[in-house]
Amino acid sequence: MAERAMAFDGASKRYRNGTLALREVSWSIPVGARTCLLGPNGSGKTTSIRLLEGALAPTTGWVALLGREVNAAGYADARRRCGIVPQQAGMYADLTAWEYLELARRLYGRGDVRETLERFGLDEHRDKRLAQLSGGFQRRVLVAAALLSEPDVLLLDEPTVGLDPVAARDIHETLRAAMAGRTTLLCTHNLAEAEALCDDVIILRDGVVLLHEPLATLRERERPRTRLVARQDPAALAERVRAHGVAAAIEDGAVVAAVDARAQAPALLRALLADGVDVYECTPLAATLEELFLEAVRR
Amino acid sequence: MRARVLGDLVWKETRQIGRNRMAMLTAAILPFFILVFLPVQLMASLALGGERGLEQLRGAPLPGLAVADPGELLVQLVFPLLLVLGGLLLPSLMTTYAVVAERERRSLELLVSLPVTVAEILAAKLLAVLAVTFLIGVPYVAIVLTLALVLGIAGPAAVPALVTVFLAAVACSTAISLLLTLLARDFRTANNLTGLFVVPALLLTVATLTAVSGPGRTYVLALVLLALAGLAVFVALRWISFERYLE
Repeated sequence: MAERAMAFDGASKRYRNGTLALREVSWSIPVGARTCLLGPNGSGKTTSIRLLEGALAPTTGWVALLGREVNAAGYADARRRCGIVPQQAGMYADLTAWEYLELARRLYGRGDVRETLERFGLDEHRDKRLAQLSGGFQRRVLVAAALLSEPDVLLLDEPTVGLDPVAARDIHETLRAAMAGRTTLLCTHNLAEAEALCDDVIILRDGVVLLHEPLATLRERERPRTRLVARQDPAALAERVRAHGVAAAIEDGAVVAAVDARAQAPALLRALLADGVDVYECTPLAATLEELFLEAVRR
Repeated sequence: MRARVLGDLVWKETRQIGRNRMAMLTAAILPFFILVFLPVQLMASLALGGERGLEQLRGAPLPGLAVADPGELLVQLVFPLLLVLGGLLLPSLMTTYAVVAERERRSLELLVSLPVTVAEILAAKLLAVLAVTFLIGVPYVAIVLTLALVLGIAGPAAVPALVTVFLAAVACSTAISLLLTLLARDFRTANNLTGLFVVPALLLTVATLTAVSGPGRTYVLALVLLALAGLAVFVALRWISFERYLE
């Protein structure tokens, strides 16, 4: 079995106000994996990140980072091998970009601030207070601080939330390069972002892991669907499709039939044409991660 | 807790406090009135023969005020009271700026994302507050005590007693600040809580100074303040977890 970069074993977290944010969850990520943590608000995503970064302690069970149980012996060293991009953090009005990166360098015990500033295009902004930077540059500073020490593990908590599309794309490009060869846990609401950057997915709901598998496996499990359009109205087309024993639904003026485009659609098309239905469009449909996510959450 | 990490965090905190002119000004001006202006004014009044007010105070019916010499009245009762007030206010004002502000503007996330523990963050903030408190408070106290010695109002034996009371008040206030950091989410709550904690501490000071007689009263007062500090730390660690700081 591959070495585990992060692991939760029967971990629960109950806050002082009684909220049970995580319920005996168990999951692990092997070294080198790029996994996204998805879930609706209040599902336990941020609590999971907080447990991994050692800011919170689990109520039951244990959490480990790079083989070291959080807050036990050796965890501090494991923690210094982990870069974290926090979620929508407030920015200092009294600390410059250089000073924040210098603080990160001191705490990680390695890294080159000058080189990092250059690499992330922050040279011109090194002496600006963090709060004076634009949203995109602020996020760049956070990513730079997380990568300054060349960590083995990256924890990204909603790295592009609140950014305009241009700044978000800029951060995506930076992250895509940074994630190569690094174990990454990406916590996001942005399903397109997750699909673009990750290979595996963990879906949380109400503090429970609903699903943890590679995106490719998730895709294999998706029900085959084919979109059909005919000269006749969609209701008539759907009726004929159902008459051949295939489930069909009308979506956006077309009929979505529950058939595999490659294996079953040709026979269905022949039958429909023989019935006098003038089908002129037949498109295989791949579910988006959003659809897969919603399906898993509804299950 | 790692000393090197604490050092790095204190470096960051002192830079930030030093740059906050409003915080520095507030923290310097109010204690200046309490720790320097009032004592100097009283000493000047005594030195220039204006003892009437002090004589009236000496005639008050409170048992602790039965001090024969007006100068002794200052050293035994008035100075300790002012030193406690200044020692309590200085760290509280700093803490409001250093800790509660960070929580309020959500910049705490920036620190938690670095390889440090919440306990180290809090300890570094309190150490930075203590450092700035001493930087401001010690010169103030030194001015007053030197003047008291030069004018012959205080004898050499009174100096360590008064310094001890000031340090105990600072320790008490710092401990109370720890509670504040865990309880207050915003400036308004922090200021209300400061009042809530400082006023009983002052009442306790007055009660101790008037109830205990003799030159050892200042040391007794220091012990009372240190006990209060211990209680605040105990409550903070026992009943209010550090998780509250992140909520």
